[in-house]
Amino acid sequence: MEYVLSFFCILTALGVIIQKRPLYSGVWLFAASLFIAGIYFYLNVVHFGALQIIIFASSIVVISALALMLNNFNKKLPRSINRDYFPVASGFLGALLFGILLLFMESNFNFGMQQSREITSLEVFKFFVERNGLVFELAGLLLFGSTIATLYILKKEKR
Amino acid sequence: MTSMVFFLVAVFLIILGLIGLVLKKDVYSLLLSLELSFLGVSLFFALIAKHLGLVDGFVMVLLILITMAIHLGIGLSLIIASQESGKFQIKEDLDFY
Repeated sequence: MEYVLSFFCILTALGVIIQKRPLYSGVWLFAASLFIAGIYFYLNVVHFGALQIIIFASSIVVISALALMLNNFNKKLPRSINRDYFPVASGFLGALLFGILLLFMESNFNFGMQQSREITSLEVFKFFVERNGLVFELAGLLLFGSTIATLYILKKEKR
Repeated sequence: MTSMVFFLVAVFLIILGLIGLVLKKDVYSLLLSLELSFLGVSLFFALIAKHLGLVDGFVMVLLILITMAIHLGIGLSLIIASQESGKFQIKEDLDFY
């Protein structure tokens, strides 16, 4: 099951990069987010899978599709500098990340901490509410602030 | 015990997002590539937290998800505003000299 989820996850992520039209890229991103939610479900953190679907499916993808319909995003940005070295830099960064991952594997992901116990998402949310209520408050305030900022930007430009 | 395959998937997602940031030319696709990269990072946090049995990684996942929503909202509104007014343009390379 995990191999199937991983395969489709990578396939859809590749689709985001390969597609040239932004709308199709968005659709592939939606599919990738669904498969990542599937990974969360497989890991038994069901609430985060649900959160992923709610945030991605119902807000981000719908909003971005609407914005895409409102505007013409196919217009290309001008490229003034030579970017030939960027693929090399990406490859180097990828190799670095894989190296860090291998280092983690060597140390067996422990770093002297206690070895894992099963965490359920209910436990996580209990932890949030009982001890980290501030995170929820901050997140809510951030979302509220961003909504106001978005409305302000759009309204100011219409005037 | 979490599978190593998922860790590789997370790293692959981050790298793909970065490659998309480099190769894509329109603003909207750049935003989507950034989202993909963030998805990989949040998956990585969740896997580490699950593997070590710590809850803190999930706090980061929640914050990352909310930050993704916020930056896409503000980014899209800025793009729409810039395209509708035509007063200012989004430039890719700023000339600081």
